[in-house]
Amino acid sequence: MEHHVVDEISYEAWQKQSELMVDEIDKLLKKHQVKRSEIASVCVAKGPGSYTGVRIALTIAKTIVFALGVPLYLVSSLEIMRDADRPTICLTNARSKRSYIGVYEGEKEILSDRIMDNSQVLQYVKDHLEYVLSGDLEYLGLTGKNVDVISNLNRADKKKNLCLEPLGARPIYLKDSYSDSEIKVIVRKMNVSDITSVMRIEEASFRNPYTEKQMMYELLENPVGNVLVAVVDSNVVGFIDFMITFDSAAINQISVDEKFRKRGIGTMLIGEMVKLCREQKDEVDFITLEVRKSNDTAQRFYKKHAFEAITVKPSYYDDGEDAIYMVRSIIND
Amino acid sequence: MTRILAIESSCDETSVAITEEGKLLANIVATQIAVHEKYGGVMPEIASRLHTENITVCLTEAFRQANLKPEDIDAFAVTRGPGLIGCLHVGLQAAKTLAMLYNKPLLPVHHLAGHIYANEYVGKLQYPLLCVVVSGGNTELVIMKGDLDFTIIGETRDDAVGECYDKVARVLGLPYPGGLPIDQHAKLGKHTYDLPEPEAGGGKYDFSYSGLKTSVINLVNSLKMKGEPIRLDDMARSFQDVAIGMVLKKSIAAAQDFHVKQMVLAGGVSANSYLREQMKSRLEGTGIDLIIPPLWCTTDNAAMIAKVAEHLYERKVFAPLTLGVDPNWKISDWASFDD
Repeated sequence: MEHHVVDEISYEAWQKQSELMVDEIDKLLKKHQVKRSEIASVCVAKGPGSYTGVRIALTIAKTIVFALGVPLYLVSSLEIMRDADRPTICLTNARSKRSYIGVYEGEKEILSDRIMDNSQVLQYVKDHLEYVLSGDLEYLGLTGKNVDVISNLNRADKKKNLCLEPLGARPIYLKDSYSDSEIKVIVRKMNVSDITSVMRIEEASFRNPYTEKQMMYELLENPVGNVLVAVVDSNVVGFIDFMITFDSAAINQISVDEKFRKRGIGTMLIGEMVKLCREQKDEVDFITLEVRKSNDTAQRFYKKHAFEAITVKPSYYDDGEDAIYMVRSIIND
Repeated sequence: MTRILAIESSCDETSVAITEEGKLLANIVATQIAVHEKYGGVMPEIASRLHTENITVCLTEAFRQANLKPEDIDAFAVTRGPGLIGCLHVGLQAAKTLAMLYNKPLLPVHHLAGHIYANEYVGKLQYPLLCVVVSGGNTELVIMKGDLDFTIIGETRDDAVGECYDKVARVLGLPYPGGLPIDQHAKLGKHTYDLPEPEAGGGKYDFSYSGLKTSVINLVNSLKMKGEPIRLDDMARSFQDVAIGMVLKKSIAAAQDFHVKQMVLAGGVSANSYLREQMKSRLEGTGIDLIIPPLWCTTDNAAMIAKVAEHLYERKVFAPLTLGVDPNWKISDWASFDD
């Protein structure tokens, strides 16, 4: 259904969003007698911008979406500042003499959202005088066009903005994102909010994947369970699930998102696990694992990481396939 | 049947609890310790980010465990302060959004009142009551003459005792949070290092911990310079004796001066085994009853927020949807949240 803006509330609320936002939503819904069951979807700007401001809006949006079970659409805070027809340079002040910048022409992204030194921004503006400038640009000594942000936001319920994992949705902060050429991978312990991402990788990788319940058990309850995740630009792209029991550790599962394979992420996950094993009070002497006999790629990967095939466990898997039992020592390397 | 949903996000745990007539149906705690231990302390911006990521997952899990839907809830409670401002904002938005959608009361809860009322999961509170509130953010002695009637009679003039533990742990190369590792090492050591008990000045029941922290740092540095080994167990024991000794001395004095019927321990440091044992043995035969919170209530969680919320609900202490957070909210001001 083509929809239109019925009403809007918009005003400067510096450091007051936390107090005012929910109350304003309440007033708006009541004024137009909108029942909660009539809310079909929620669109929210995901950043970049003020960390706290973006978090407040996103938390409210996520809570509505959780409660009502409706879709969540996340749209760039810069993209909603674009002019309807003409290419637009969308800018906000990122402080420390820098700006958040994104350049859009209709649906097309000419320059993806990024952070840029103000001197570079001014040069970019000079080089693209035919583009519309949008934003509160006093800090750059420029004047931006006043764009109808609300109506852009209201029309953001498009497929490309649909958030597939609304419960774990995160703002875009940009300031700690990686440069275009290299990816920066962080390995850390898994959080509950990673569950949807981990399950997506799990289901894409294994023939008999864990259920979400089993995965939550590994994460929250299994006293010897450990789950580490690899994170690229705040997205989980791989994980390793293992147990440490006294002098040995066992890998239950390791997997990396297909799009991020062959970039050393699996190696980092194993490396971080080995590091954890070394830090244990009761020293861990060896790591064991089972791998499907037919899975040559995985076996090559493990061999590269000093695992040796010890024996075959016949009919180990539910479908009757044999497992190769592999072991690597920790002390002697 | 009254059902309350409570949200806690004041520091490094995102937590959601649901109670029904005081009975705990769910208490989900997503801890961030794994992330913060890298830094040796809580990084506020990182904590706020994780709360935003975790909050709806915790809500989902709480409703699943309680086998309820949001429309089954009678009131939504949230920690309004004290705590880290960015972290408090996240829990507040979630609670306000739910209260708005379901048109139910919003209950503003004081975090420390939560730690105190956590003891209601163990036994009934008896007044007059002395609450010994010891955590990473607070060191306070609070007298309660009745339900929700708090008077602070003593507090720290500088660092909180838990904060002091974390900092000393870092100097000694022990992991964050520092409470448990220091407690464990202290059990193996002897009080051989001379660490003076800092003078708090001010009131009789006030505390000071920054001097103790400095003494440990200076002592460790001077030992290192002389090339002498640091006996970790003995250092932990010497520190713990002084740090907890102050809590014991002042609490017992206050309990006697105010003729209390009962004493309760509250906050993260109430997990300390030395504090628990010593308080128990020193109160024996005094006629003062002692409640020690279960270990799961010594860390932040929403179950304890729900306990206070039950009392607020009974008294109809409801907040408007324009409620804001207050990172420095005083416990004695628990009923004022309008500004």
